[in-house]
Amino acid sequence: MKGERVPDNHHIARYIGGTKIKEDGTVSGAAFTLRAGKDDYLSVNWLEFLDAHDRSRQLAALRQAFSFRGHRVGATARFAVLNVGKLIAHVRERSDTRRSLRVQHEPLFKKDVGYDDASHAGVHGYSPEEDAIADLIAQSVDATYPAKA
Amino acid sequence: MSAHTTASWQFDDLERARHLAFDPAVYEAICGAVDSDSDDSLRSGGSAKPSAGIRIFVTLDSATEALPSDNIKRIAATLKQSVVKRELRTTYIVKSYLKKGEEETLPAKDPERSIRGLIERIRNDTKINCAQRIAFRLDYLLEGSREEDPEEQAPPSGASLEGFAVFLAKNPGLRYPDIVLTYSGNVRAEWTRGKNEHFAIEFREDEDVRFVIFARDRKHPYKTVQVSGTATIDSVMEQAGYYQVLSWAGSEGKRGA
Repeated sequence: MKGERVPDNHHIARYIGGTKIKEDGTVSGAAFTLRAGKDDYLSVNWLEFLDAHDRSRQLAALRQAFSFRGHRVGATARFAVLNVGKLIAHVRERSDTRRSLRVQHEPLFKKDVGYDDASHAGVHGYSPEEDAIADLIAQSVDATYPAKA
Repeated sequence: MSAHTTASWQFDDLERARHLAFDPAVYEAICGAVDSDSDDSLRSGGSAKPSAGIRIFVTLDSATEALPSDNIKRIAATLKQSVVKRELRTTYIVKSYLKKGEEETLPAKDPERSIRGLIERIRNDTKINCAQRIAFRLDYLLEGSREEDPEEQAPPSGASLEGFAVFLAKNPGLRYPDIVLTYSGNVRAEWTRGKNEHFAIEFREDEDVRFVIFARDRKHPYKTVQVSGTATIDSVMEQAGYYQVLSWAGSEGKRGA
């Protein structure tokens, strides 16, 4: 349901283009910045919405959702997976403003964007200028997986 | 060359400005001025005093800034800056844009060729620490940007790359950075040693930079200071210096997890 909070023990995944992955395989904060005038929140997908437990099934469903979007998926692109509770706690603890991010369900519908993406979610609570928050989000990445099967 | 060559950039006369900018005689005149004159000879909206038989007039009137020629504006701004401050930018921008009468090859016509040229110059720049490795990484990012959906990832920005090159040449004490692209194609360089020591600079097209510093508090090392904002290519290391970033981002600093 739109606006529903994603539980702290659940996970989200973000598509990361290869140009934002560092040589040691970690993800740059550049992948989590918001684009001024374009992004109201950080676009992610709610993994437990796709499958309750199985990571490989979650990723398979995510790859399928991306193929429906019609966006080109790079060969070096990855999905970065973050635990919601850990993300929120890390940013709150480390940011100078004790920032509280919110992760909520933002399903997308064909009538609005040209494709359905029922697991789509958003990270709210920061602005395009706040690169430091984006860098803290990058520090919270648990794992990455190839975006192409 | 005549005794008094006058090169005039008038932004309300774009075609003339373009012609002058890529005229070999004007290129020689500019280089003569840059090489021989350390005075404030290119002043915003003002005329220069004669120097080495050269008189250059650059108009940087705020009323004309809305005009579309970013290249010409940047050249004019660079000329002003380079003569006043004797910056390395002269080498990177003026010579690259005006070299040997490349009169018909405006970089805007083939941005990728221009980017490749900039990467090559970085590769061969002896003032840049790890120049070959950095150039290799930039080549990789250029290729990588092509893989991505163009709506999501812009190709590398030439202006950002130029700024990055200037910064690297001025700061040879920094170790090899992590280099990535932002969504808009700007170069972002990062030096990280653990979660409490992080320095990132995004080189923007307008010659400013955005930076983030996470560093240990000097008085309370168990606490982390967080600083972010905008600065210039010249001034960002002053910010970083205060937080002793070079102690871990410098060539001697060990790379962390």
